[in-house]
Amino acid sequence: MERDKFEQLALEHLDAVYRMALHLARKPEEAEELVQEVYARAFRSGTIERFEDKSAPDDMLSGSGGMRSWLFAICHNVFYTRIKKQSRQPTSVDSFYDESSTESLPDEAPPVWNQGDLNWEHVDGRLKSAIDDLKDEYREVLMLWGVDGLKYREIAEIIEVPIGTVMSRLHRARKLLADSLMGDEDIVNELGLRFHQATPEAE
Amino acid sequence: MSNEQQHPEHAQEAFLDALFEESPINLAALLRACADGELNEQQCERLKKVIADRPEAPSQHDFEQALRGCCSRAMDKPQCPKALRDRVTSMAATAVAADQDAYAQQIEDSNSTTRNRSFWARTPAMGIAAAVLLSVAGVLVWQSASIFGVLSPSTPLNIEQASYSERVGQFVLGEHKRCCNDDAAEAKLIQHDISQASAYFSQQFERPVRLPQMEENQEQIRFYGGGDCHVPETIQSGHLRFDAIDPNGEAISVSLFIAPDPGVLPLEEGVTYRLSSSACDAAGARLFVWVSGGVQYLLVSEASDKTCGDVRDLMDAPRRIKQI
Repeated sequence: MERDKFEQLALEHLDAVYRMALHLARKPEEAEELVQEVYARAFRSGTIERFEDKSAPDDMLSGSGGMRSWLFAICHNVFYTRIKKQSRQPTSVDSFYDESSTESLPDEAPPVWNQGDLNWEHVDGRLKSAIDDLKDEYREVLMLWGVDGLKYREIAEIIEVPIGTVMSRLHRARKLLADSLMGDEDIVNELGLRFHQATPEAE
Repeated sequence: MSNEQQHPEHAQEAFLDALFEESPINLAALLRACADGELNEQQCERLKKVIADRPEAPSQHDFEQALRGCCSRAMDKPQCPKALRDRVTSMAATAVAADQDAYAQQIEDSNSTTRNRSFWARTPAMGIAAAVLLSVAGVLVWQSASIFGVLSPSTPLNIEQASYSERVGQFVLGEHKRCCNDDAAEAKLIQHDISQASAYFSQQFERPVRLPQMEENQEQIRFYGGGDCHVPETIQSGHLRFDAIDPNGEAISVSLFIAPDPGVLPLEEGVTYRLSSSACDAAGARLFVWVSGGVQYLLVSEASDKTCGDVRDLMDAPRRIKQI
């Protein structure tokens, strides 16, 4: 790929990279540093030759599997390398699940619901607060899945974990969000939420 | 490289297939995968058969789909600030220039090896004469730069160093401006005795920190205070604010940021570098950096060149200056 085209493509995903950086770092100034570092690495001499576009032939623009995923992977690596450097080890999700791909996924059923007249603003507000409370690992996966619409295997490649771990983290994040919604009586009533079966609480 | 890394699609299919084989079947995980569009056609058909006698399953599937939409709406989707976009775009341009420079250098190196022997290399005596002339010229240039503080030609930075230069410029300018305000300064710059501040940071950095002697220079500079800071790429750093008195008798704030040298910039001891920073340029501020005894000193101020020079002298900054 020619440098001009490469740079143009990389700059097209600047908003998405900034969004990811902000969700990881949580502070705008740190997010800006992170983004600069990502692009400094991306524009480094010799990088273009190594960049491999894995996007589908009919989906070059979304960046899915291609440039966007690649920039996300750099962002993830730079962020966690910095954390390690600063000896601020994040609490590992190992405490909840084994990180191997052969782990058993938790079999906790999603709530059953009856869609009626919903106050989505109320639901969204509650979710926003619950998402803010999630650990970095969960929020990162949730963002890549919910906002950027990435597939499990793409997320797995970006954060360099097995697909089973992506599913576990997503499950955990969604469970925490669902629990948060279930904890709001108004939302439970509005959505007609109920658990079909008793849910184990041994998290 | 693992099988999964080589063929992620196949690894995912195999992983999901295995979920159907579990006993009891992990219906919740499969419903979520189905709601996320991760099952292939055969897996979807297989799931339909499994949930045929589970009336609650479609509702659970719908809940998961709706939750994804909610997450997308609820999560912030901020846009990249314009200033950051401009900086990143300029980094791309810098990278192109750096590549072009490197290419030009390669050509030059290549040419020089194929050139004919030079005039000075024709006899041993001419070679010695050339060496002597070069040495004398070098000493003269070095002396003139040392004595008069002449700005030497710029030192080229690679893309990471240029990026760091921008980041550090933006950071120190932001903190300097914030702490020009006395309320912010009082909260951050809690050490008001410069000897104590010097001892504190020397202990923190495990190397001596050199700060100006205030008693002797009260007419020119006053120490406001110092406190802990977080200069990019450093674990520990300090911010010290001084008020320099310009020739008109007005006090102008000067910030000195100190930290063990992180080694990102190619700084040579005995040289003060004027650091390029678009943030400082835009704010009309000057940014200088030097290293002494393994400590990096960053000086930022909107004061004039002369006042900045006087302050640097008081701080024992090297008088030889280079642009970086």
